[in-house]
Amino acid sequence: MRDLILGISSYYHDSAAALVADGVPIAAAQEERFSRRRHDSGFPAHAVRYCLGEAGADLDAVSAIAYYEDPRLKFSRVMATFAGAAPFGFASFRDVFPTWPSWKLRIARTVERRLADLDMGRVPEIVIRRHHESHAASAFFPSPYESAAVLCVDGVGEWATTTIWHGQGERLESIAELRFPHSLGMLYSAFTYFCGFKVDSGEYKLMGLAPYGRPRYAAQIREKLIDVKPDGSFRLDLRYFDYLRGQVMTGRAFERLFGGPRRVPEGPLTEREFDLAASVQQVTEDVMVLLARTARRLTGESRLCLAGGVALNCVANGVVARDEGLDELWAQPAAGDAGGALGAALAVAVDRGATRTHLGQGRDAMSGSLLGPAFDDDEVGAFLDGAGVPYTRLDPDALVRRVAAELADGRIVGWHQGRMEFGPRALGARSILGDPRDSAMQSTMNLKIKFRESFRPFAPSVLAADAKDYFELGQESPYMLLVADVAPAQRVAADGEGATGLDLLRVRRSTIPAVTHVDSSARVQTVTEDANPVFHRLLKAFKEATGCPVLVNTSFNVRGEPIVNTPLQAYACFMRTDIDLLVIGGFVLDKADQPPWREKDDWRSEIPPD
Amino acid sequence: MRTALLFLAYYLVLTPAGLVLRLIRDPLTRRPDRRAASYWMLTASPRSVGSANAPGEV
Repeated sequence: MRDLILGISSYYHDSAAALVADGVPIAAAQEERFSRRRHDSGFPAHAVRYCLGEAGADLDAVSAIAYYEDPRLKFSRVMATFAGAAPFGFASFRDVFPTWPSWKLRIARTVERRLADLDMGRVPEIVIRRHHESHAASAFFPSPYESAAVLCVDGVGEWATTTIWHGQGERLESIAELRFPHSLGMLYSAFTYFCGFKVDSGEYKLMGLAPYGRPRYAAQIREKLIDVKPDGSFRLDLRYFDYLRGQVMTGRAFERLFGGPRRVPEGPLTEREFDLAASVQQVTEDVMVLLARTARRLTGESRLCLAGGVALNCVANGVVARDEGLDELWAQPAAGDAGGALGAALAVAVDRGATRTHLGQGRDAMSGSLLGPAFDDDEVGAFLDGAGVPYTRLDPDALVRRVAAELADGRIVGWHQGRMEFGPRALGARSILGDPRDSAMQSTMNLKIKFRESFRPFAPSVLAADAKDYFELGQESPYMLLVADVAPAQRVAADGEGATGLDLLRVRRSTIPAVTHVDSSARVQTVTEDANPVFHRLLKAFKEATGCPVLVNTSFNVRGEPIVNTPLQAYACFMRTDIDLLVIGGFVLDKADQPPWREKDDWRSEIPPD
Repeated sequence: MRTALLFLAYYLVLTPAGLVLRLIRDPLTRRPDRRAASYWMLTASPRSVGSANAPGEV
């Protein structure tokens, strides 16, 4: 009899549900993929239904529900913040306080009611795990390591913002922490806000902007905004930030420090933003390296597990991974709050006696992070026939050969295969693919597919066996959470005479320009046959056709919408953009053959800018 | 009506409480302490081994 634990994260960012059977993750998904509202933070009803359905279970079969955060403890921090800011900050108090007594404090009751509403059986007991413990569990338990140092860095959970743990076997022990309001995630979010991007979703754009600038504000940041000790511990000077009293991140003092008001969202990017991005990125990297060293020293371990929102900063992860003395790094693919659902469930499972059965096999327990819904060929066929959509059906070998040939011809392919990814990255299950050797691919994909700003680079997927020929990566990177430089053998002399600002992206610096950033770095996914056999087969076919074992792998969605889930959503994205070929399972759809796509209204106006 | 109640709670209760607390000990510790060697709060239980045991040392 399987011991099923259902983990839930909700109400703050990125609601998700995750189902663990005897300590093994068997299903997990973010609510946004079902509700089609990006970063949906509401109760993950669809995700819960999916997870239970995947296991062929209802709530009667679940031993316990695990919730990823302690609302009482969080409330104490929220109240301390209000008390600390008073008499300023009434507006925030007025807006936020009433939500607590009404439902946030009684999360267990709220969650219980919402689960009961699903009509899927009797609701089992609800167990609360702390936020950082949930992150730590999601980082360590599924990792391939018998023992490791664990580091969790985020905005804030209840009080803790930065925590160090020691994982050994089935034990996870808290070692040290830093508390709100001192938070590396908040620092990065403050700069995200100041540079005119959206907090909690724009941090990644700031990271992508950094290579365009020089870190000329880094010294000022370390002098005025954040005091970092040699052991990585830090404190912010809150006089520059507004998040304690206000609804925005930065105040007047911050503006004065950096010579003017924040950039207006969607406004023109100037050199100041490039340099601010470069500066805060460098400071973040420096702190992460020191934190990682302390984590290793306090635990005596040479391998590190990472989670928490700041672990999505793959550039910093790359720097940490290259630090001498660190043997290997493993980051939870759903490093943000969605992963908390999985972590909470794992923590409860281990408490109830589950063991980490995957350890003997030298792999992790995430199943390539392909833990979402799949659609079999019968379902897909029925949908396509019902919609009167023309297609060709190919057997697996013919399929990858056809797709590889189209990619080699410069076509862009929408790729929908197997179970959907858990976590923010597309990993070859819901991906848009292109030829990385094509200089124009970066611009084409940006403008014709993603309808987005042109400064953000695309990311490569590479056959794991060939990764060392293309990237300076000292280890595997199955979840695209490490940035490494393109290998010298692939670099070409950049002839970027006079190119400045965002034009730097168009300068060719390597044999794979579509995935090479202006500093010759790339956010790499190494693909093994074990983790994703179909995608691996496609990469091999592309290598056979072109000699190149690398593909551009970007998420299957237009800017602002969540990654696609169902075949219908894939088809809609296909028809709304200039994707040339759509592949769903064994079905191939050519854009040229498709009937005209009709939609009421301008669909673009319905998707909020991100 | 609700806003009025919140207003009163905020200025008559929370504000004085906050001011008093800040005089005794600021729970939010808003400013860096350049003389401190470390800001880590150690959370390991006493029975664990290693340097994490030594209070104030990291």
